Amino acid sequence: MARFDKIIKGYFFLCAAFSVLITVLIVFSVLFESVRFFNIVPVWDFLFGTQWSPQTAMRADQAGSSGSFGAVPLFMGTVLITFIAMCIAAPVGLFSAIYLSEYAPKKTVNSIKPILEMLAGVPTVVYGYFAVITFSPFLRGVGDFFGLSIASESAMVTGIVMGIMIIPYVMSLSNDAMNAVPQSLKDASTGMGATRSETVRLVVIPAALPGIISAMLLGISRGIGETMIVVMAAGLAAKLTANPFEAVTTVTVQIVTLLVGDQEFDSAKTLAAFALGLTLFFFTLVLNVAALFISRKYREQYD
Amino acid sequence: MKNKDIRMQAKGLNVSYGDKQALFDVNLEIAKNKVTALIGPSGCGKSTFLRCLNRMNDVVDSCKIDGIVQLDGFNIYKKKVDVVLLRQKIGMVFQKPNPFPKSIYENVAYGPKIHGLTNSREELDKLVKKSLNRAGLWEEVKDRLEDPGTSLSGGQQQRLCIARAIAVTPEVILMDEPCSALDPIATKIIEELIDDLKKKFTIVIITHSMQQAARVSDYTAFFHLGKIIESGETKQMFSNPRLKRTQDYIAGKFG
Ligand SMILES: Nc1ncnc2c1ncn2[C@@H]1O[C@H](COP(=O)(O)OP(=O)(O)OP(=O)(O)O)[C@@H](O)[C@H]1O
Ligand SMILES: [Mg+2]
Repeated sequence: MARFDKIIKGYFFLCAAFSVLITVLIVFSVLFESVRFFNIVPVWDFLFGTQWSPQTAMRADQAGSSGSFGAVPLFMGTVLITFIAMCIAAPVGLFSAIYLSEYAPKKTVNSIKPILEMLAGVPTVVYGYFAVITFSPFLRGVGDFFGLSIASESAMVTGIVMGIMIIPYVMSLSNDAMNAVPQSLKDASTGMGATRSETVRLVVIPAALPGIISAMLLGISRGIGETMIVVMAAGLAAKLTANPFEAVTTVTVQIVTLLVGDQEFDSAKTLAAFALGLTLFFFTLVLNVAALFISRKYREQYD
Repeated sequence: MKNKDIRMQAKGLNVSYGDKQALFDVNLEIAKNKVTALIGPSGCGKSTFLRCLNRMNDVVDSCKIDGIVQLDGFNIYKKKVDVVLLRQKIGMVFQKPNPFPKSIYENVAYGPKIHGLTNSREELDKLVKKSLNRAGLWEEVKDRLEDPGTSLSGGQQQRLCIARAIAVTPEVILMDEPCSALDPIATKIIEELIDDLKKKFTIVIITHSMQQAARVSDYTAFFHLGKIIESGETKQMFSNPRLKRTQDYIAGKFG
């Protein structure tokens, strides 16, 4: 038996080691290609340049025949869209979580929660479809009515639809955080004569705050990495703007466009995708680690 | 018992959770400025009864309550009763110490703040000090009021919860096994505290310890299977119970 246990243990270890190894390999390959890219384009120009036009020049006399790789417009586009998305997802997700954990009768919870969680399983391509076919024309119609010109691929449309996609994540995670607040604390508050909303405001939310913050961070990280919706609904033009009604492009969109079609694997254009990927990886990693750190610290509080 | 000595009274109280009835026609008088102990085997409905006294069972969806509970002759289950005000008058201390994950000061200030009992920071400071003093905790925590309430020992936490409850100057304090999570020394301190508190408050306490009931209470009610089997003066009940079942329970023969 002991021998069998050892074999099983070894097998489990191999599985775990395999996935860790693959992750490390991916990171290193991205890192390696990025270093090659930074040999052609200085890191500084990439991180702080405001001109993004990776197309290789048609004619030799064209300016910047090797294209220009200032990624700031992409970062800004990602930030703008994610910001709009969180403006939708944070309040809606948080309030529905509060409703589900503190106000809704059990029956409602049992029927609503699966539906909301199903929303998290909808493929993002469907959201993208929804954005392009339904929501964008609708928003443009509304804009026209008020005399506002909205681009058909505006950051607004993309952000709102992405926000809808993120709602279930934020909701589900903050709901977990609030359910983890011990009933005894809520009882203590109720027993003091606090109303339900006072209990939520003064006891439940403060106690669940670390969990709620980490839910928000994970939501943001989900938004930054989201690809399909933005590929379908956001633009391609790398314009540096803070106007949500104009078209912007994002890091993920550019990675896709850089790599779709015929590729030479050592052109700056192709390698740029790895540099973008590395940046993206770095930011989502920071966000996820921060979320993990915060929620772990908080878990110790009740043990 | 004379009418003026009665602070709370339950009349024909029936309580059920869904289909399961937990209390059957319970009648009990709770004397002013005395300690009333509720004893009985596990699951007999003591907590259910206690929670009816400040309408804490309102938050349990499945709980149906039928009958009358009076505070100073006024039925607290009347439709118009302001539950918030009621719970300010009837405070509660729970089995497991449950301080909020806030500072010691904020724990005690919680009730006064939500009920708007004080007008200035100085007043609030005074009230916090007074409540901690009365709960016998002031000397131990006066230099660390900003520390989290959860950083105290179990016995200190329970006294903090008592301080929190008395900070809103209730008339009645309900205690559901307040010492069951504490060691004998912390228990002794709380028992002495209860003895002191009854000068100002009416106290109802649930306990599984017969010695504790005998030590701290003036009146005792013995619950069994959702009914009050016997109630009366503690001295008389412990020395000379009227019913065999009471005697058996007190002697530890069942429960
Ligand atoms: N929230 C609830 N939902 C359903 N049934 C409940 C609930 N609370 C209590 N009961 C039931 O009511 C009965 C009385 O419970 P109660 O908690 O009042 O007993 P108790 O005397 O306090 O017991 P213990 O000494 O173990 O605390 C039990 O049978 C219990 O299962
Ligand atoms: Mg109980």
